[in-house]
This record gives sequence, structure tokens and C-alpha cells, in this order.
Amino acid sequence: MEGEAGSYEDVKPNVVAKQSNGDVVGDNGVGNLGSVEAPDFLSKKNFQNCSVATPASGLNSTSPAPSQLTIFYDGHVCVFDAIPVEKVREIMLIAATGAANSVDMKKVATDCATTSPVLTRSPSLQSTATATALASPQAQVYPTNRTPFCKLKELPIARRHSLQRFFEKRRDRLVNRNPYPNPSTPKSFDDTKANLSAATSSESGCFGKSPVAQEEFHPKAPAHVA
Amino acid sequence: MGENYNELKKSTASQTGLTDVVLGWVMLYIDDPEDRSAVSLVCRRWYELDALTRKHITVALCYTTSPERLRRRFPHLESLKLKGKPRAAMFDMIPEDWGGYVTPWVKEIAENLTCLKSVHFRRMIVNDSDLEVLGRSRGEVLRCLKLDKCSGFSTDGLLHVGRLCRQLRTLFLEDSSIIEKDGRWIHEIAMNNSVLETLNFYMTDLVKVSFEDLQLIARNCRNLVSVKISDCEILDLVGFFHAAAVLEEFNGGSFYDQPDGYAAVTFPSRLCRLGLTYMGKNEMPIVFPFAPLFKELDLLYALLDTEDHCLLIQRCPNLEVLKTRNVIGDRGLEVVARSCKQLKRLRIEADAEEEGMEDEGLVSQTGLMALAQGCLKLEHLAVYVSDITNASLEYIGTYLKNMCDFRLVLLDQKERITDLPLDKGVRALLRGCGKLRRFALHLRPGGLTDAGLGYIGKYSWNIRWMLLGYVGESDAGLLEFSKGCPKLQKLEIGGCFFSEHALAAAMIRLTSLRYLWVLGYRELSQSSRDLLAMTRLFWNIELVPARRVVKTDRVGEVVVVEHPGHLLAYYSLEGPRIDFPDLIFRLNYQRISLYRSISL
Repeated sequence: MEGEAGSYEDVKPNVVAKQSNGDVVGDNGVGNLGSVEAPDFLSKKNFQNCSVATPASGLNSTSPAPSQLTIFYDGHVCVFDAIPVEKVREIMLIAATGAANSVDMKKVATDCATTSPVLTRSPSLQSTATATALASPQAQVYPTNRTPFCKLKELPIARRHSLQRFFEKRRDRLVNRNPYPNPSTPKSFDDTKANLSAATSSESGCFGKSPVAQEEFHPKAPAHVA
Repeated sequence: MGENYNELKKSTASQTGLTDVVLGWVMLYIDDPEDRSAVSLVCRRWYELDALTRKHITVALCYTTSPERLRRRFPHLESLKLKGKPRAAMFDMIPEDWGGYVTPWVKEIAENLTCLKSVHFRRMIVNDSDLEVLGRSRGEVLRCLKLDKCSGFSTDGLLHVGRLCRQLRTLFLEDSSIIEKDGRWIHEIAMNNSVLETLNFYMTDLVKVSFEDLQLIARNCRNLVSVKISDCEILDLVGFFHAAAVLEEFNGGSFYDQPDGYAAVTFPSRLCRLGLTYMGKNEMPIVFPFAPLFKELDLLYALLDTEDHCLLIQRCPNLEVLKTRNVIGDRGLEVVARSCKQLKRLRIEADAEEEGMEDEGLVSQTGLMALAQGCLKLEHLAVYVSDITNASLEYIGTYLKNMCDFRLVLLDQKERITDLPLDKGVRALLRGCGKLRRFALHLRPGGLTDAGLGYIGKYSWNIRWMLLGYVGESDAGLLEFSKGCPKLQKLEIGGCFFSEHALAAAMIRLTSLRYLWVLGYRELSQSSRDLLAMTRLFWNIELVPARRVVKTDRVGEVVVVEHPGHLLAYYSLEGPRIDFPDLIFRLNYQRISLYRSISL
């Protein structure tokens, strides 16, 4: 998913979290982030207008002493006192995944088409898998798999199994991958095919061998196997 | 309250003078399961009479009770419907061996349920031996056998059915996964059965079926009214159609490139419910003579475009049921609205993802608004839309007062949707469609706010089943939702990623809830600690954690599939089930079943 990784790096960060010693600049009397509710924009979990600096940029988490966290967001500044380092790391992680996902929410529709053409043609067994497969590299990139609503786009709109089978059979018809008739089976629905010139096929008298011959539930048999 | 109840009981007995015999006769006329349930709660005597006279039972999830318990309460049962795997199994989300084995039920039927004449298994696992046991024990009286989206059996099992169940009026195998060995089963039916009315092996991919046997069935069974079969050349069915004089319903067959076309095909004169697989624009005219008679039309597996739909549907003024894909487009829906004033059920499925990139083959608010104004008798609507507005939902609430089952899925092809969130529209729809019992809404992030989710709770006073996908914004929405929905029995949630804590709280608040399925939720703790808040007596909770599956697709590529975790919880009288699947191949399959026992 290099395409997706590249896309969020291009976004200009307008949230910068800085940890430093310094005076408290007016805020809501918020002290330790761990014990008090986060500012509105974080709790709303709506990251559409927010992007977070990538961990590599703008963050200085190695300053000495119990330290101050300053967050610049959308023109506002919030400063929090006495934030332990682990908490800061958590915040940074949440913001990082949030930002990437918020960008993905906009981009995933186009990325779906561009990044994994092969996957969308997987057999019907993976009907839910095709789009979740698109999502899986995303899951691998980010360590926390648990960010809530920004990850919503991952779950695909599943098609019914019966419809998926129809789509496959339709594709097979279009690419003329129908099997040739089986001359050895009399009296069964085995022989009607688009490729044949014979009008009524009923030399055999049996149902046409549909592209998916013998189907088992898991896994799906390839269509061209007689 | 207690005092009044006792007095009421006494007065009923003396005033009405209803003897048990009379009451028993009266009860025979009460069929609705909810009425029956109410009847059985009146007093012990009525409970017993209901139990003795109840004809049909549907067990919505086979693990909520046991065969013995069923038989003990309803010893004279004549008809049984059992459902196994969760609905999500139809979308490939449930492993094959999840469960739902019919074997213990068949055993009970064979040994004790002597009055049983009709059996319907849906999404269950059936073995050949089960069919043999059923055939040997009930074969002489069984009139209806439905193996509906089942799996695990072969044509050998059907051979037993064909040989032993000679009184079958209905044999239904639609969408089942059947291992095909030969076509002898249908030959047995042709030889032994002369009373068949409904034969259905649609969507089964059975190919070793002989045309002659089919024709024989048509000749022998003078009441053969409905036949749905797997793919086969339509031209080879000419003889069958000639023989099936009273046929009203036919699905299946197939069209291939035939040099002389399909003019030779004549359909039975009473045919009014039709679905022809792979029917394209060239073949379509063969059904035009019948189009004015059509009550049901299945175009899900046809190869028609928007224009074809318009041409066909405008000829069907008596259509009551239409199923098709979204290639029908808004234009097609406008034709439906103009032509099909009798329409009661409409299902519009989504085409494959790679199709439908042009606007013509998509359904949007335009089509919905036309439909709402045109088809006032609509009761069931399921539609996959590419675009939507609040106004279109408001139209549905305004015009479609008979709606009892509404399902809307917003596809993800279009990046920008005209009008989101849908709070106002959803509220108007729910308030307007007062008869709504089943409701499904699958949107996307931003599709419905927490307030909107609250509206769903507040205005769904009659809804029994709900499927919600990507609705709300946070746990607050779910909690607001759970304050309402007084009659909600079955809830399916997908992609909303509410926290375990919120799910537990919601479950406790939803007073009628007896079945909960959640696909994807926010696991805050490895041990699912927060879910413990949900535990209560008789409530089974089954967890399948998120898992990664490595598969090879058709092109030979290795695909890593992320299956999000899912949770299934349901009330059961039998405690946690023991037929869990084992570790299967690379599936890291863990099941945690929790219930808390209260010491009284």
C-alpha cells in the first residue's frame, strides 16, 4: 500500500504536539491529560480537518523533567502540564493513526481501484475478502488495530454468495471459458455450450455443464475444471 | 395486580363457560406465532392447550433450545422450521463448520415427532445419513422437505428422499451446496412421486439431471405448479414445458448462443412467475406474450441492461414481485413506478464491483422518489443505492404506508454522496412507515450521526429485526439507540466499531433483544473483559476474534484476508453449545462462551 503511505505524507500537518518545559499558556485548567477529558476535537473522533504531523516531524519527546505538552490545532493552542512520556506516546500514536485514516477515508475509494486490481477478481469465497484484503495492508502498517471510527471504511459491502457465483459464471461466459461437451455421459444435463454450433445439444439429454461444475462450499472450485 | 389476576381467572372460567374442548377448537384458528405466544401465557391450562394444538414452530436459532425440549412442549407438531448459521453465512462470513447440525433434530423427529409432515432446515448442515433417517421414519407422511441454503449432503442423500418420501408435495433445495454424484435421485422422484407440486433445485449447480426425468415428473405430477432448476439449455426443456400443463412458476434454465434462436420455445399457458438465467436482450422477446400475466419476475441472473429492463417491465402491469440488479437504474425504476401499480416486493441487488461505473446502471434518490410515488402497495423493499438524499427517504415515509420490510445499502463507489447525514430522512421514514417490522440500513462514515441513531431507536416501535452498518459516530449513539426499539428481538451490527462496554450496555437496555450479532467491534482488552458486563443467565456469547487468513485466489496470487472479529450472543435454554469447530488449518479459532449462573 505504498500509494496510501505516500498520500498522507503530502498533507501539511496543522497539528503539532510539542512537549517542552515552559509556562502554561492559558487553557481550561487542564493539567494531566490522563485524568481529564481530552479537548473536544480529540474526543469527537472526527479527524477530517485534522492531520497530525508524522512522528518524524515536529515532535520533541526527549526533553528532560516531567514536561509540558503543547498542541497546536486549527489555530488554537492547548498546553498540558506534567504529562508523562508514555501518555504522550499514546497521544501521538492515536493522532498518527487518526490522521492517516482520515486521509484514507477520502482516498480509499480511488485507492481501491488502483492498488489492487488483482484482488477484486478473487473468487466469490473472498467476496468479503476482496475489500478486506485491500484493508489488510493498512492494518499491517499501523500497530494499533483498534482505532475506532476512522477504520470504518475497511469493511466491504458484501455480496451474497449466490450473486458472487453468478458474477463468476457471467465472467466465464464472456471470456468463453465454458467447458467443451462431455461426450461420454448420456442422459444428463451436461453438454450445452455457447461455443458449439449444434443447436439442440440433446445428444446427451442432460443439463448443460455449468461453468462451475461441482461446487463445494469451502473452498470454491475453479470454473474450468470439468 | 395479583388479586385482580386471580379474580379474572375465576371469572373467565365461570363466565365464558368455555370448556377445554371448545377452547381447543378456537385455538386451532389462531396461527400467528405472536398470538399463540400470548395465548400460552394466560394461564397453565391455556399453555397446555396451546402446546397440544400448536401446528407449526419456527426456531430462529437452533441452539436456543433442544430437540427434547421442543418435543416435550409440542408433541403433536406438524411443521418445523429450524435455522442454523447466522444470516452472515449467506455473505461468506461464517465458516462452513460453524455449526447448525440437523442430526440431533432428525433423531428426535424420527423417534418422537410422529405428526410431523413438514420440515424446513435453513442454513444448516445436513448429512446423507440424516436424510436416510428422515426418509425411513417419516417418509410415508412427509409432505414438505426444504433444505434451504444447507450443505453437507450429496445426491446419495437425495436418493433416499426420492425413494422413501413418495408423498412429497414440496421438495426445496434452493441455494444448497450439494455434492453431485449422479442424477439417480431425480429419477427416483420421477418413478415414485405423482403428487409433487413444487420442485426447486435452483442455484445448486446440479448438472447430472436428465431432461427425460424432468419431463416424466411433469407428466406424472398433475399438480406440478412450481419448478426451479439449475442451469440447462432452455431449448432442451421444450418437452418439459409441453408436459407441465399447469405450471405457473419457473426459474432457471439458461440461454446460450443458438443459431436458430429460441422461437421454438413455448411456455405453459398459466406461467406467471418467471426467472430465466442469462436471458439477454435477444431472448427477451420470447417472454413478451406472457408479460401481462406476470406476477413475479426474477431478473437477478439475467443479462439485461437498463433499456431492456424498461422494455420488459412496461409490459408487466400485474407485477407483484420484482427482483433484479441495480442495472435497472433510475430510469427502470421510473418505468416500474409508472407500470407496476400492484408491486408488493422489490429487491434490487448490487452488481459486481467492476460493473456499473456509468450512471445509467445505478439506482439513486431519483429512482426511489419515483418508486415511492408510484408503487403505493409496496411492502418489501431492499435496494442497493449509489446515491441518496434525505428527501427520498421522506418520500418513502410519506407514500409507502404498507412498508413492513425496508433495507437500504449505500454503495461505496461514489466518493461524495449528495446529502449526508441521513438523520432527517431516516426519522421521517420510520415515523411514516408505521408497519415496519424489519429494517436494514448500511451507510458509511458520516452517513448517520449519533442523533440519527437515536432517532432509529426512538421511532422503531414495531421493528423486530434490524441490521445496522456504519451508522452513528460513537458509543453515545448506540446508547441513545438502545433506549428505544421496544420490540427489537434480533440486531445485527456491522462496521460500527462500538466499544465492548457500549455493546454490553445496549444489550441490557434493549428489552426484547434475544439475538445480537456484531461484525467488527472495538476490542479494548485482550480478554474481552468489558464484554463480561453483558453476561447474564441464559445468554450465550460466542466470540470469534479478528483473524488473518491466507488464501490463493484464482489468478494464483496469495491474498491475505483480514476477517474482523465478530460476536454472536443469544438467549438459550440449553446453555453454551458444545459443537464448536476445532482449529481449522490456519484459522486461529477461539471461542469464549460466557454465562453467569445465579445461585438462587
